[in-house]
Amino acid sequence: MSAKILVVDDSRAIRQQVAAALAQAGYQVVEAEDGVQGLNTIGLERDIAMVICDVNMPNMNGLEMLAAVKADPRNAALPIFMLTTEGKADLIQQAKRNGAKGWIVKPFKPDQLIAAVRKVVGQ
Amino acid sequence: MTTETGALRPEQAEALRTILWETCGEMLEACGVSASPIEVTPAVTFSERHIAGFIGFTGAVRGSLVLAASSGLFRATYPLGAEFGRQAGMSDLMDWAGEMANQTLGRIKRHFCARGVDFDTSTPTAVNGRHIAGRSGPRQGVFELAFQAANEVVSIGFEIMVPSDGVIFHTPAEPIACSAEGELVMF
Repeated sequence: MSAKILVVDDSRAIRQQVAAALAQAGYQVVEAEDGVQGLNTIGLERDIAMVICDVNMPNMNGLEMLAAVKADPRNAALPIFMLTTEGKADLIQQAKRNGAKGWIVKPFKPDQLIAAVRKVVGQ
Repeated sequence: MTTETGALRPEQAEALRTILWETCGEMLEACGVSASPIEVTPAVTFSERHIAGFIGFTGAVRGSLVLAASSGLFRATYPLGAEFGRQAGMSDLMDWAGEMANQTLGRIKRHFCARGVDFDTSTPTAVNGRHIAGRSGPRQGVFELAFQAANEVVSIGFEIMVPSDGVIFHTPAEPIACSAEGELVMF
């Protein structure tokens, strides 16, 4: 069974792009369109191996979702990668302090994303 | 090729104009289409367009960016390629127009940060229609650019609230560290 990865982004086009790259590499993908949906999905689907999450989203942004996930002991070990147009060093450091596993500035290169995912969750 | 009105000091307007031309051109190229600057004329600025992506920003400076073109441009640049773009419906293309505005403003923000000016961005949105046009009449801090890309005209409007001293980029400035487009940081 391949690892299941949650993609959280308010842009459908980006979710499709990330999902296509992950699916081509053999991963299962589930999607959510903001931090609230992302948290709900993590609560419902207990076999998620990794989250790839945008920062700037309505309802709950990615950094808020990261903090909420890490605050729950059941999910604290879940690896989370931020994928965003934002590149400010202080936000990247904030994500690192809050337990994120990595940060990619859009636009992303599919090969680069898959290599990073493989490092975190394996093939 | 750029038109704006307002009280930005000439050197400030020139610096901002350079940032806008560079970043908008780079963004279109990054989407896989070659982009050539074209003259902004009423025929371009107020021509019939189909989709416009919007995004706002606030912080040390405030304003907005609008990226407008026909649906053909958004089909041609859709992330999964032209093949997938042909299957994309209007809501997909509108979503992508908003994301293109988002990524364009992200690039602009990095140039602002390099000059010590920071802002936060809103979430993007988009509209579609038959006669989408910019507001007419002179306003301060408005820059309009146009490109020819994928046989389409892309119109970009950038508006910034001009401070009373006409200065956005102060010197000397402490650059704000930022990662570049495509950069990956693993912790």
